[in-house]
Amino acid sequence: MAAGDLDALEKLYDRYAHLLFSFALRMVGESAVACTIVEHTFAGTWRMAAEVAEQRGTVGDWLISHVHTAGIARAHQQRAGQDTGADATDQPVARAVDISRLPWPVQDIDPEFNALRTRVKELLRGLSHHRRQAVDLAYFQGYSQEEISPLIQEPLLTVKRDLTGTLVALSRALEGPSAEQTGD
Amino acid sequence: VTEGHEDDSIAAYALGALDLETAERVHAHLSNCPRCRALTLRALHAACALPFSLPLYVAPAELKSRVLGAAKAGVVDRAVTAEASTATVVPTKVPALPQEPARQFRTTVPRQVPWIAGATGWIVAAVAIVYSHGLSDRVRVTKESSAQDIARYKGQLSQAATLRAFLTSPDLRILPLKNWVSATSNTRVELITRARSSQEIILAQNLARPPSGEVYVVWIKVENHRYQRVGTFTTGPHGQGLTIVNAAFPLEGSSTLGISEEPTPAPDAPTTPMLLTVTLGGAAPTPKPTALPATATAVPTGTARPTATARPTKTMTVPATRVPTANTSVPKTAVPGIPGLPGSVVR
Repeated sequence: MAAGDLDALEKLYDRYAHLLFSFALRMVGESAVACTIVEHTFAGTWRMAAEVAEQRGTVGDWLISHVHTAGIARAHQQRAGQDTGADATDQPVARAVDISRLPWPVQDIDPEFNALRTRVKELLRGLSHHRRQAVDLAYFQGYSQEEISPLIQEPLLTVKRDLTGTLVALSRALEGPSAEQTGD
Repeated sequence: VTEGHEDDSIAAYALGALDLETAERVHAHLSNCPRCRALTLRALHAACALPFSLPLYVAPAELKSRVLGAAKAGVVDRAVTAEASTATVVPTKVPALPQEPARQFRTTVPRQVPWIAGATGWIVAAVAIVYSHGLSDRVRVTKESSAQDIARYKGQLSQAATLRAFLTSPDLRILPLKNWVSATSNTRVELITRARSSQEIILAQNLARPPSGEVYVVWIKVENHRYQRVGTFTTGPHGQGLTIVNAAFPLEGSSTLGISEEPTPAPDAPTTPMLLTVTLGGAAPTPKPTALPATATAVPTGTARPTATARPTKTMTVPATRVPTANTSVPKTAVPGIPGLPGSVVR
């Protein structure tokens, strides 16, 4: 893709679009906004293809990080709007996902990711409730660890330990031979 | 915890769970510490596995055509950029970086241009840039025109089509800019957007033509003092230039844009001091965006309307004192950089 190959972009899209859309949808709760975030992510990746190719890490990490950054920005903006008393009807709450309006869920859309999905889900299922909460609030909802501490009623030190411990466990899980995210 | 390192904060940094001040400190540390940088990359890779735990939903079918369509336009834009950057270079010799004197940065107060006057200014300027260049170049089109020529024309057509779409959009908006720090006293930059669009137009006026072989690069400041390149342009003989940006993410109310002169059109990071930086956002936050009729020459006060479908990040705040009444005439000096009018820079 670094050479400007549209076919490569299409392959990348086919591989990641549903994952990125689902991720963005989880963060912002609105299909239209999620689409915009995904579109911007691919546009940015395409425009900076050469830089992406030179980055350490995978293209998948790059794409996911882009969606994450946009999702966090959106979450912060929504919370700021609520704090200042702005009209909440203009700025839907990120976490207020209306299940009835979501697109159809799919299963096994990319068999290549199945092993990774299974491994990550199993790992998260094995975490304690407050640890899962801490990760969810941090990564998917954009709260800082200082904000998370009172929300889950755990000391800040515990929150830090939970976040670190989860990433260490994930790192180990990813080191398995079948857990490669991408080969791009 | 290893003394002198950021082990305690790396996980939260990778998850985006640090407060801004701590995140900046960690980021600064990472740029000088290979050990912590390696740990952070590993943590980031782990964090990027978290979305795989989510239930998958099918992305809407039309999203693919939007993504690929934008990329096709990008192919042309990149070809044009590459061509433009080499067009003025002495054959086969890449120009060395000029030895420039230290720039005297100073904060300037933007002129209080009436809102609608600014709108008229950018429309005229933008159309003039694209069409005047296109017309002058079209004269030279022959059967022997190179692929680069054709790519350039396609790029101009693409720009013109985007401009046309903007001009006919009822949701056209000029985002207010503040905190100007400019190396030139009369340079103006405007950011034009419209609702439900992933594109923005950045229009510069009164910006002298860059040195031979160099281009202006537009940057957006991302977190922790880093800049991300969002566009490239050169200026015409009257100091005007524009670039159409397909934003990688919604430009936030407090985003900072910068422009630097660069020897290549695609540097990873600014290699020269910023000529100019501006921050999005007006004086007072207003929850309701104000729509700007694209073809109006004067807008009465009180035209604000609710735009529930507009991107909240594009909220435009126009101080009441800057909105002219219906009887306000547009002063000529409010349209700098247009041929025949005051304010043009000819170099």
